[in-house]
This record gives sequence, C-alpha cells and structure tokens, in this order.
Amino acid sequence: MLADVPLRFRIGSGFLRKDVLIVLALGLVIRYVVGFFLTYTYDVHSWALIISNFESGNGLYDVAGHNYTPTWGYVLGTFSAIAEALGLDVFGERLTDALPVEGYDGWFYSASVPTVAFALAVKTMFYIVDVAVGYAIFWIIRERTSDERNAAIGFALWFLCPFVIAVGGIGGMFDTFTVLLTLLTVIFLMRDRYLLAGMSLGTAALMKIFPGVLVFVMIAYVLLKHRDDGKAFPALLQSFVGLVAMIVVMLIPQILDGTLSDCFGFLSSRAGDGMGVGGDMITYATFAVYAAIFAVTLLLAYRMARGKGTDPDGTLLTMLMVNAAVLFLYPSTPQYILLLTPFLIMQIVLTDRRYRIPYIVLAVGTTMFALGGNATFLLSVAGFTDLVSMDAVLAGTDWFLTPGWLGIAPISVIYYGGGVLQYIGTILVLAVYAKVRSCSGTSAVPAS
Amino acid sequence: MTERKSDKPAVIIAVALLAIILIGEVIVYTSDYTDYSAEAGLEGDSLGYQVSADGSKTYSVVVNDNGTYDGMDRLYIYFDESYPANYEDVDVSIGAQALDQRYYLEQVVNLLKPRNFHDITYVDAEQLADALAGDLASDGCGTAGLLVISGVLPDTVYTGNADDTIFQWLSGGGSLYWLGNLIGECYATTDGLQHVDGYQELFFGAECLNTEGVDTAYSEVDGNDYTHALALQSNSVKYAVDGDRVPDDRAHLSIGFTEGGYSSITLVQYGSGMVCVLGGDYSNYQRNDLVQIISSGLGPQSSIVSVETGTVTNGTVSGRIEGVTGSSLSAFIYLGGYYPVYNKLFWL
Repeated sequence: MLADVPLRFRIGSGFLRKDVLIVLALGLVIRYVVGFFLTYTYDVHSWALIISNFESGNGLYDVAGHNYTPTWGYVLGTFSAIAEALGLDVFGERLTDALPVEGYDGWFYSASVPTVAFALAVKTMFYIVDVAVGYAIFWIIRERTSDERNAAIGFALWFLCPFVIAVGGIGGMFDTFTVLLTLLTVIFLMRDRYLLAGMSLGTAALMKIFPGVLVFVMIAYVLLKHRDDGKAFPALLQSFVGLVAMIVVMLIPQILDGTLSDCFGFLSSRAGDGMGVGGDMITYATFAVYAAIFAVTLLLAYRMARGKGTDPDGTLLTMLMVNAAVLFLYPSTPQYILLLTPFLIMQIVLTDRRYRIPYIVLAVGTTMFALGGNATFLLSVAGFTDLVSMDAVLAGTDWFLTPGWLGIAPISVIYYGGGVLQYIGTILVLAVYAKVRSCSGTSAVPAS
Repeated sequence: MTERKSDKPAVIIAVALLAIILIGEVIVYTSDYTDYSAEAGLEGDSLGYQVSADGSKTYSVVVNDNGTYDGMDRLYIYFDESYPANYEDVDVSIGAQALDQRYYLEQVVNLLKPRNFHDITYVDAEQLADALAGDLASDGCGTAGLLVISGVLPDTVYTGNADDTIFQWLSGGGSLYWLGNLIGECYATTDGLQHVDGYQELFFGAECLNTEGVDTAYSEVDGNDYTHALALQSNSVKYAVDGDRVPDDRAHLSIGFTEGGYSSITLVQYGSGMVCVLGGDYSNYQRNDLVQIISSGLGPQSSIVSVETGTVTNGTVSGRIEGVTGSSLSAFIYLGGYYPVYNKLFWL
C-alpha cells in the first residue's frame, strides 16, 4: 500500500544526495548549452508542423506530419498549450539562406528551421523526462542493492551519457518518454502494481512500438514470480486490463472516426519507401528479420518462465536488457538504443562490470551516429541569432559531406562509423551476457 | 534483506505523465481553426483589422491590389481514376503515407477548411466538362477555380485546340491551378496520353515552361515580397514558368523561389482568367503553397499594398493600416506564420 511507506524528501539523502545533485546540475548545464547551439531541424520542425496541424482542426492524421502512433502527438498537445500560454508564438521559418542543405541527396537536412526558443522549449520536456528516467534507474538499483552510491552511479551513467544528451538535446527525439514509461512498468511489476504496470506499458508501446515487444518477458516474469502462490493469473489479468484500457483511451478518437489504420500506417512504410523493387526486398527482409527477432523474444520469455525462481526481479532486469539488445539486432537509428541503455547500466552496476565495455562502445558509436547532422545542427542558431553565420554553417556542412582522403567524406566516418560501432556495441551486450552467464554457471536464466 | 523504499514517487510520475498525455489528447481533438478569428474592413483609405486567438500566434495582414482580377470563391477539383494521370512518384518522410494524387487532394481539402475556403467540388472528367460548360452558359467563370494535379487534363475539356472548353472557360474568367507536370503537354483519354504540339503557346502564347531539368531554386524571386508575405515554402521549379518569356500583353506574377528564370509559382493572365502553375513534383511544401495561393485570392496583377505582422496572445488585437488604395483590393489575414492555422480573405 502507498500509505505503508511515507514519502520523504530530504536534501542530502536518497535521490537528493550531494553526488546526484552535482550530476544533475552538470547534466542540465551540458544539456542547455548543447541544446541551445545544436538542433536537428528535420525532426524538431516536424513537431511544430504537427502542432499547427491539430491547431487548425486537422487532428494528427488528416494532413501529413505525424508519422507515429498518437501518444507523442498528445504530449505535443499539452506542450503547445503551455508553451503558447507562456508566449511562444513563432515556431520556426523556412530560411532561404539555408536551402542548400536540402541539396545533399540521402541526408535528411531541412531548411525549415525551428527557432532556438521553440527547440529549447521542446527539449526542456525531454530534459525533465531524462531526470525522471534517471530517478527510475536510481530507484531500481537502490531497491536491488540498498546502496545509494551504486544508485547514484547508475543515475550518472544515464544522465551524463553522451548519446542520451544527443538524442533529446540535439535530435529532439522523444524516446526518453518511452524509456520512462518502460521503467515505470518495471517498477510497478516489481512492486506488484499490475494495473499501473499494464497502463504504463500500453502507453509506452503506443508512443514507440518497441516496448510492446518486451511484454512477453514481462509476462514470463509474472509467471516466474507467482509460480508457487497462484497469483499469476489475477496479476496478468490486472495488467491486461490496464494495458487494454490505455490503448483504448489513447486510440478512441481514431476508433470513433474510423481512421485507426492511420495510426499504424508507419509500420508498413518504415522500410523501402520510394525504392521500387529494392524497396520491396528491403520491406520483406525487414519483416523476415523482425519475425526472427519475435521468435527469439518468445523463446527468451519461455525459458525465463521455466527457469529458476530464486530472483525474479534480477532475472527480469537481465532479460529486458537481452531482449532489447536482440530487438536492435535489426540495425536501429540512435534514438532507439535509449531503450536498451537503462537495462545495460543496471547490469553494469548490479551484476558485472564487464558490461561497461558495450556501454563505452555504445557511448562512442551511438553518439557519433547521432551526430549525422554535423554543421546543420547550427542552423537554428545561425538563422535566429548573430552567434554563427549561415555561410559558416553551409561551409561546414559542405566540408563534412565532401569526399576527402581516400574519397571518403568526413560525415561518412562519423555517421556510418558510428552506426557500425553502435551495432558492435549491441552485439557486445549479448556477448558479455553470454560470458557472464557461462561464468555464473546458470543454464536457462542468469543469476543476478 | 534489502530495504524497501517507497515507490510513491514512481506512482506520482506515472500519474503526472498519463495526465499530460490525456490532457493533450483532449487538446488535440478539441482544437479547431474556429479557435481563431479575423475581421477587416476599409473606411476611405484606412483598413481596420482585428485578430483573435486562443494561445499565442503570430499574424500577418497582407493587403493586395489585384488589378482587374476579382478572385474566385468556389473550386472544382479534378480527380478521375478512370483516366490516366501523369505525375512522378515521390519519396516521402520515413513512416509517412505515400503521397499519391488521392492523398494529396484529401489534404488540400483538409487544409482549405481552416483557410476558410469551403465551396469545393470534386469532379470527374465528364462532370468537369459539364461544370465548365455550365459556367460558360451562366457567365460564372469569373467566380470559379479549377485545381488539376493529375499532370494532365482529360479530353472532355482539352484536346490541344485553341477552342477547347478549358480555353473558353479561362477566357471567361476561370482560374486554373496546375501542378504535377508540364501543363498541356498531353491530354488524357481513357486509353492513354496523347501528346500535344505547341502546347506552351496554347496556354501562354510563348514557350516559357521549364523543360531543361533545372529543378531546385535557392533564391527568392526579386521584385515582390510575396515569398515572405505569404510564407511560401516550395523551392522546386520543375515544370515551372519563366514569367519573363510570357508575352507582354499577358500580365503575370512570379513569386516564391527562382532559378534560371523559372519561379516556383507563376500566375499568368489568360483572357479574363488566369493560369497558376506551381513547380515541382508533389511535396508537402508545394501543397502548403497551393492552399496559401488559393485562399489568398492572388491574381496575375496582384501587388502588395502593405504587410503588417504582429502577435496575438489569448485575446484580440486590433490595428489600422493607412493609405490603402487600389483597383481591386483584398486583405489576406493568416495566423501561425510558416505553420498556418487560420486564414481569411476579405475583398474590400
């Protein structure tokens, strides 16, 4: 019961301990400095477009702009009301001087540039959620170890992680919301709050689809945890009710107006669009790989449910990391790796320091991968302040994209090199897991 | 045993987050262009205007002198899948719906609604012929517009002859909005496309269309400030018109972005009517410009008399513009800048 344990906030202890506050302050300063100067215009412009679409009465799907399930659009609904109440009136402009950046084929650079104020306002949302994710990591590690120092290390590994900062603070992508909802699901599962767990997971899966795949491991956790007390069925029923309730609530506008398919149209168009026969092959290959990943996910869940029941919480955390890593064996863009990151951090702190190797590889690789926008990240500052000239941004962009030594453009080293490192990091997560598991001598599931 | 800490903060975070999402859902699906309003009226040479908004929005008041052009207030949209179309497939954003003719037009209709343009009728090839003939019979061409994005006109109104129905309708005052391919290069029968010789002369009296493969513009059109005044966005000049090559006896207005003499948008006089060509293959930017042009009532002789911008926050802002004189004046008010949420046109 909530009333069982009183809620206390005391400076110097718990999440408000000194080292956490120092990391928090440092992380926020880095975020605001980075966020002020650097913005990926392509996606942040889209958020402004989505807001104007629904403000003009066209909801989320009547005109192009929102290419996701509706939940992120709803967050933008509340954001727009608050931001406009505070006087944010200009979201961005199409800058004629910046048009040359759209001339690079194959790169999503946009001369539709959000203002620095709009971009920072959106990013502030992500920063707040980053803190909440950090708190969730802190809470889980403390719950497992009763050691606040370890929990603080976990918080720091998240909050100062360069690609976590880059994804929200530069890219303006909202994956940190998905991560938070997933971690809340884990906390509620660990504390037997199954209705809330289902609600959180349902909302997470409707923000980005990947957390939905983790449901099987979570079901296995409930079966494992309640193997002997007969509470598994009511727990799963509660979770199911919570999950379905949130899905219905989130999708009710589209259900009522008969446009439900619009919410999921992006699933079939994420791969291969505009690529003709090659595109079709990529689409089929995508579905084939995801089918294989789905099969592995089911196998993981099956083995987990049938494994040792000595430490279900530890097993859950480990299997979520493994499942997330398996999920991203289909190469992902940098922002998706955020879902894997908290579970990897927890393994570093909770089970084996060898997990720091994939963490470091990901920290380098995914950050490089997330910097594909190179000098175009400065477009907002160049367009709306006098701090950087547009000519310098264009020259910088050109330098990054012009083939140099061995005919390789610097951006290729950063972007594709980063992508390769990210993939290696993902594989290393699974390799270290296999190593740790073999060392611990467990068969079906790891001892945590 | 490890010490169990309260999970109350997690519950609070979850409840707060779900509240933000659910409140946002209500906001998204209760927001409408009717949350905004605008009024304008002329007293002598003084234009008074009033703009209201829920939330904070930038607004623009663009006063135009349109010469002999009186605008149109109803729009036919040609769409007939039994006739071939002639436009290029385009790449779209990752995850976005394919931008085909049907989806493009659906969006045009959805975007014209908050721009307070409501009299819209879809017509197939036969209905198009009947509609244009009806306008000619009732002398109503001057109040009608026709949007064609299929890249080709059907043989019911165009067969490459100067006395085709489309040309009679344009002469009578009709406004044709065109995009998707070279205007008039072909006409469509149910069996296929038929090439037309001398198609540029038929529509413009001279060869002036972009057939050279110059696709993208990086500069704004000189000589008028409509690019900024209307927040125009598409910089493609594929299939576009070079206004300088249009004969002098036909008024023309080039706006938007330019490269090699071609402009992303050109409005050319045809008799009492006009032909408006938007360059480029299908794009969201082009679609934005299209609805902006249609709802602004711009014609080939339009020029800016005055532009005033400002911000309205949770209330009403009034203003007055002095020295407004001209032959066919209009005031075009829109809110949201490059992200328009509401437009309204006033003929003064």
